[in-house]
Amino acid sequence: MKEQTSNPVGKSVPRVDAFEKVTGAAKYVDDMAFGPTLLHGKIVHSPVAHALIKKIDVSKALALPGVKAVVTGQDNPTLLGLYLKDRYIYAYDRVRYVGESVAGVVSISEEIAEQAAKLVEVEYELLPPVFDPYEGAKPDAPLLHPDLGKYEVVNFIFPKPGTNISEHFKLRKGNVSDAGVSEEVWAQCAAVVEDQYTLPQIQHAPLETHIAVAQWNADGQVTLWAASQSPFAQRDLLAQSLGIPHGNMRVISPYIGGGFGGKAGISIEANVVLMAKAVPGHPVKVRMTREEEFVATNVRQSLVAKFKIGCDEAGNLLAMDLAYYFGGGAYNDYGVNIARAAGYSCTGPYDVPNVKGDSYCVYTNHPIGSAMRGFGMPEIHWGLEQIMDRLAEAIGMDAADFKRQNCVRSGDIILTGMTMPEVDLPKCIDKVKEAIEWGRESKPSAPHKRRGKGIAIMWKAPAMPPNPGSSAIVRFNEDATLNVYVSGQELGQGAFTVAAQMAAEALGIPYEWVRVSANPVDTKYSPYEWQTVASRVTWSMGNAVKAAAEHARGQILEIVAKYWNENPADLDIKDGVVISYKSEREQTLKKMVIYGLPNENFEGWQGGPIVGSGKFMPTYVTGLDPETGQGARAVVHYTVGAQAVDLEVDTETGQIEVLKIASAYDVGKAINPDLVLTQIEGGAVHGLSSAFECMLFDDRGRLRNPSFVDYKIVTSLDAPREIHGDIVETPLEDGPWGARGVGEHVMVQTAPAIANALYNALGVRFNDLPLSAEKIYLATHEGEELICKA
Amino acid sequence: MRPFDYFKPETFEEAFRLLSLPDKKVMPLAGATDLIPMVRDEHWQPDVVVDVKGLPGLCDIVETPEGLLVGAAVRMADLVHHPLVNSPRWNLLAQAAAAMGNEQVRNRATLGGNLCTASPAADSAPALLALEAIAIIRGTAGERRVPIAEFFLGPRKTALQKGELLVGVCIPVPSEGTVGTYVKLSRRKAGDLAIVGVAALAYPHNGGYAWRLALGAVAPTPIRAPEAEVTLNAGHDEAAIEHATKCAFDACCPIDDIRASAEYRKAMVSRIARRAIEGVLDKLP
Repeated sequence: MKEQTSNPVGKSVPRVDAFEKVTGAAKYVDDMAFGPTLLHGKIVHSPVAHALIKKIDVSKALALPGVKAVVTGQDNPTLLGLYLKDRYIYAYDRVRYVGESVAGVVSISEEIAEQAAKLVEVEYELLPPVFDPYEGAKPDAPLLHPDLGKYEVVNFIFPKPGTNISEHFKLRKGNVSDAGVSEEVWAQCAAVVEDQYTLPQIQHAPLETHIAVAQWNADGQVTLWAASQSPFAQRDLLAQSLGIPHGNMRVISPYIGGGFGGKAGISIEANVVLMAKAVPGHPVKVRMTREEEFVATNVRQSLVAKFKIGCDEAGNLLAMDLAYYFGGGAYNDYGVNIARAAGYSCTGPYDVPNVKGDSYCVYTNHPIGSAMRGFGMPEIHWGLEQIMDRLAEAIGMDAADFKRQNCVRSGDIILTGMTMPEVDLPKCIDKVKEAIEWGRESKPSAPHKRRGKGIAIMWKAPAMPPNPGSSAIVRFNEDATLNVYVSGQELGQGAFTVAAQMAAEALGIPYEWVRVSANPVDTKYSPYEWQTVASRVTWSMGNAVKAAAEHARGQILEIVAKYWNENPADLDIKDGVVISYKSEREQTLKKMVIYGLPNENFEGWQGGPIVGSGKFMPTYVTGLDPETGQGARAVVHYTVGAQAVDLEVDTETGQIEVLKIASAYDVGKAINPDLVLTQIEGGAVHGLSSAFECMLFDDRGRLRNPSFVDYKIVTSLDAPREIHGDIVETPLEDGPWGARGVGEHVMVQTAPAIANALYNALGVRFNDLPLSAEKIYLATHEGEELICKA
Repeated sequence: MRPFDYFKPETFEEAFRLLSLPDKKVMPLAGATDLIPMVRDEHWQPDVVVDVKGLPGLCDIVETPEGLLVGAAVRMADLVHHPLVNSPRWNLLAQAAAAMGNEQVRNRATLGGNLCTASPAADSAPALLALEAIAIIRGTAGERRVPIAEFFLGPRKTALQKGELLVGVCIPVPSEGTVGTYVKLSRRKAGDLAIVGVAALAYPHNGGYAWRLALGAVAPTPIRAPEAEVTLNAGHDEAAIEHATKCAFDACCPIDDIRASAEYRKAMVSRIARRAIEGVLDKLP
């Protein structure tokens, strides 16, 4: 071991998975071999957006040589879902979006499965579709889920049976009623902005498409290999829905080639398990094509948001009247919690005395809206952060000053009645102002170009049930290297690296001595982790790792103290050596962490193999009143941040060149500053994609751009020339070393920051994403004569 | 994906035998960047695919007295990096090749494929139109030559007859002092198709300059803008440039597609044409 990094927390040590990934040695699901009994599956997707299934005829598919089984919803009409069980694994009596799983074909090759899938004949009776969430929420809209009232649902989600509303979160604070904010309050406002902002559905676009392999043995043991952010949650959902004892249901998940929330919860995995059930003992593999990934997995929800916000002449926010209509797609089993999260954080990071907020999740005949990086927050901040600028302008105030004046501060009683935990948002604002040279006009690079700057701030709480748990195990080897067992997934964010850093720090051993045993995560051997979502892993899993390491440390100190006949309180572990501050004796960890230590004169031994375990679960989150959204503690904590953009627009073409994005986030404690900065970089680029691209559907709900030829995510050449990151560290009370998560926050407000900069450059506002050169051009060149002779 | 038989002949005789197999749908393959997606999406269903990359001369770039001969299977990446193509005379083609796709696509995609696909947005087409390249077509009956302007008949339609292959293009030696510029407008800076692509070229002529202007992605085929050229040939002061861009605008008849509306394309033609013209002017002595 060449280098030895002592006390690695707070240091930018190299990633534990860097070499493996850079050299291509890292293994993903598709790299795994399953032997000669492997079969291949293909899902038959609905070609129509909304229809009753009149008949499914699988006889032709079954007759094709090489086909082993065809499964349909008739075989096992089982409902599935994380928060709301509203989704049949295979469509049962109706389909609700183009791409829905109608049947699954299993055969000896991928090619035959593909051919057989085309031979499954389904007779549909078309129903009127719903595409717009605002229209869909109306009482007379065609109903997508007549059985909504019968679905099983968790106790903090409130569906409205008889409508398309799968969740309605109400927030009432101050002088408001169900009718709105009181007229008295509006009368005190010097400026009021009332407007609508919308966002379309977008796709996660991970490099690795969804993939799963399942095997169902005759003895009832079921194994699923999947690219998954949620191996334990999947085990739980599959076990519940399919009646499999949890101990018989095993989920194995190696590295993931990109998640961004798309591999959270459950997607195609249950379909593959049911295929496997039809061919006992055979592993069945399903790989989604890129086209399938676009329509038949998860996407980010769309939003129609209606705002009315007012402030007084001194620039103090007085009132917000907010209505969010999330287009949840056909199934809202995960999406209901997105609307809820947007509801309890509906004001954005602002302290407002009077708030009426209604956040709805609405069924539509589009792909399934589910978790995506920061869910709920990019959607609501798109409008909120532009309206703040408009209010500031209306009363003649600088936008950054306006946001700084109104933003939440530690100790504030926020919209839900909860006390804001320690964060420093004003400091984040100051940092990005400085980095972007706020207030200083920069010159455009050419006469036909305009330069502009914009700022946007954000908050986000981990959006999850009140009590998601984490656990960790640490285990020593003879040479005092340590294996850390966790089940937080490494999806590029650096979860394994921070786990290793924390274990090393808490134990007192060098970082290089730690190995992370979590690839694959295997629910049969790995410790429990709820899901790798919500920017909760550094915080929650980190606490479990710290506890496990401290547990092991306590055992070691006890053994050595006994051996030296000293008090454990006088001992410490430094660089892998136990030292006594009292007697100045030293004992290396090598060998003793397995074999223990001999008593004097070889009269027996003490100690033994050291294994530490630790757990963490937040215990303090309370329920909220369903009529007002009020409660003692709505969430565990908030991460806050600011972003500022400097851009240039070509007025002749509408093209935007983002020159610089400056970000500052309060992460509590940067366990690994480089990893925080790379999240900030990646988030800025992801944020650009979210501003510039979307899923385009035709009027029958079919996706027009299910490929990277037509769905253009931002390339490295389109990335800002400079991405500047500042780390603010206001320790979180219950975070490991004060740390809180930052994986999602880094892209939440990029789109509105760009929109604000565009306004600064052009004097034009854009209410609807995506932004494009064409949209900008046409908005700034209205009435141009465009009739060619040809 | 529907399976097909794959052959890589080393002689034209064998290639033409395969291309005329009775009762078979036979398609030539070069870089496959278009063919494979088309087969995968079931737009094309070939029984037999004939890889042309093994045919003599198809991967070669050769300077001859009549001009630069570029084999149909020469990859875009080769064009970008080839010293001859990068020399000032033919550099317009290198610019167009560099604008096409991204590094990975350019490592596979070929000039012949880009032309035979006959997409109105093919990046190499406006450059070859401006360079007045000649398509070299070979069939069982022998070789024939077609000016590139007559090669494109419509979207995905070319002058190739059944059983014929595009074996390459001949780019006549441009006049001394020729300079050219290709300007592409697309949504992203890499890996994207043109919303509008304009190639402009000028060379000293009769004490002034002779101009050629070609437009991509704004008509059913890549087109020249002859009236714009006439205007510029008479002089390239601001009024002439303005009029030329108007002529370019008048020459186009774009459509709506997923990348842009016809309206935006129309608005962009004159602007991108101006940038191409000004790019040429910057290079003139």
